[in-house]
Amino acid sequence: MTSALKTEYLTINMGPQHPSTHGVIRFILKTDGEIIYECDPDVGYLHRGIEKIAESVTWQGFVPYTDRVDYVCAMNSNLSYCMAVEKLMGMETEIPKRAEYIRVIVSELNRISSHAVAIGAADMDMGAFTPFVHFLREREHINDLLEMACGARLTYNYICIGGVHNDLPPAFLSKTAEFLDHFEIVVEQINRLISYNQIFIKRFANVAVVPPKMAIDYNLVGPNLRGSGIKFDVRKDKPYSVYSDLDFDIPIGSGRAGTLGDCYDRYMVRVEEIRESIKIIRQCLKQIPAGETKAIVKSTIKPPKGHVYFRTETPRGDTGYFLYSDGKTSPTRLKIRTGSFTGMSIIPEIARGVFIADLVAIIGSLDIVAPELDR
Amino acid sequence: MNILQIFEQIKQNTDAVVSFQEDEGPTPSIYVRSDSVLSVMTYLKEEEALDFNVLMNHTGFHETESSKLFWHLFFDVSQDESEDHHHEEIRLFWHLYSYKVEHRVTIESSVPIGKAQMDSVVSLWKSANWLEREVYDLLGVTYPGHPDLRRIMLPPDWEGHPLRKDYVAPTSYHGIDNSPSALTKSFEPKGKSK
Repeated sequence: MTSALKTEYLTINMGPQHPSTHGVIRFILKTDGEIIYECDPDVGYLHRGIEKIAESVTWQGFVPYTDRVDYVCAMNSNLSYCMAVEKLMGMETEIPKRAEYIRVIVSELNRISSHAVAIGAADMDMGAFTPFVHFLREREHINDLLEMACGARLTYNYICIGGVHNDLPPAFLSKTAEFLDHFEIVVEQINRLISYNQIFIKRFANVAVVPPKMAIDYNLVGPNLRGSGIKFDVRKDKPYSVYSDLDFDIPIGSGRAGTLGDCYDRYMVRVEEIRESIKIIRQCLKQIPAGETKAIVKSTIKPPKGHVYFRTETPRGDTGYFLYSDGKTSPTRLKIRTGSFTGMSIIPEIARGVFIADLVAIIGSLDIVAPELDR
Repeated sequence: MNILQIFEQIKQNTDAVVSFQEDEGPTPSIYVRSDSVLSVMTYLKEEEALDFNVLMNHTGFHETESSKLFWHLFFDVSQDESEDHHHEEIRLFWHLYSYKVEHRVTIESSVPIGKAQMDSVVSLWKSANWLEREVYDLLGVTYPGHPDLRRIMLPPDWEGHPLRKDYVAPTSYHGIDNSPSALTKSFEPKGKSK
């Protein structure tokens, strides 16, 4: 005799206005009690059609839009786009050395602030509000530094095709060195506060394990990929700018609190990357040469007909800009393949069978930023 | 392995119609005729020496001029000299990478706009799932064999595919007015009539 009782799945809605989604992302969850049976992410709430806008603005005119693609690390977005255009124009060797160093300094500073927000937000989602506030306080210092360099605090438009818009103010380098000395200690303090906290580790360890093979199959990038134990960083493996002259390590996940590729591994990769960024900036401060900061670029550029797919390492991983030029003043096609996009596409697979509360941990650990996801 | 060697490998080991494109920008690509894309991709993924285990990016764009660009390269397609060839086409790009061998390749193909259909590669790389949904949403290419082909960026009831060059933005959506205001119109260049 078969039982007449059966489980009925309950479909519930999470988002788009949900405190843990950091932006507007919606999940349609099919749940069996507390357990997620099926998770369908509904993205596109922040789709602004940036790729369509690109078809009607000039090549230089698109740089401010890249700030808005990912406003948590606008410098890195600027850099990705500008280097892609330079590659398309075949002028990547013409960029002055000083400009390259400035680019690396500002984008690594921005990487620190982006990771600080990512870590802080993950802590906050897990119920620890204090670390987030500490990180925001530290981020203010970075915002001050970048404001010194370019006048803006969030959307910079500082890196331009051919170099950077203006040279750094005289006090910038010493202030940056001062900040690094201060921040290195703060990172350890915050780690003691949250990263090594047993309650927090228990919450993140063994949750949403991404095995290396799955990470590659879904094309996870950046810290999410390295959290699964794959040692790949575009800065190291396909060096661009002056990264080949700099000495730094690539932190990878090793299952230090549980299984390889769990939420805690992805989290700790970011913490260690902050330390590596500090190392990179220190070297740049020593090595930065004097000289020009911008190559000579026409006011209206027309890259030759052709296409390029250029990858750079932004805080959310390997960001690829695909450009197709018809030899006109604006791109025929511009496509941005971002880290959040692939990070989001893996969620239906890893969220199956976890608690609803752990979905929040997954989003936090994958560091998904909604505007970058939807573009 | 560089792209020329990869091209020779494909040419020798598959019966796909391929050609080498080197005059388009800094990264040369391999053009594959649309009906043999899946077999070439399967070969690239499964051949030991190539081992392209990651699909980094898949995208496309609406090409309004160069339909003559590609079809004339293939002398053996003269039998399907239908009107399709003189129409506009959608050019598609796949960017593959191998973490093991550390090499990359750009595969290119094109489909006529009237019959925008491409084989899905979701069975090879799971990252293709959302990338193909995006191309379907924004460019209107359908992928037979895709497990879940829905719009991804735009709402399900949206009409048209915005990244096509002939797309006209709607003036209203569910009662939300989107027609340009008098102020917006004042910025339009003079002497340009619609």
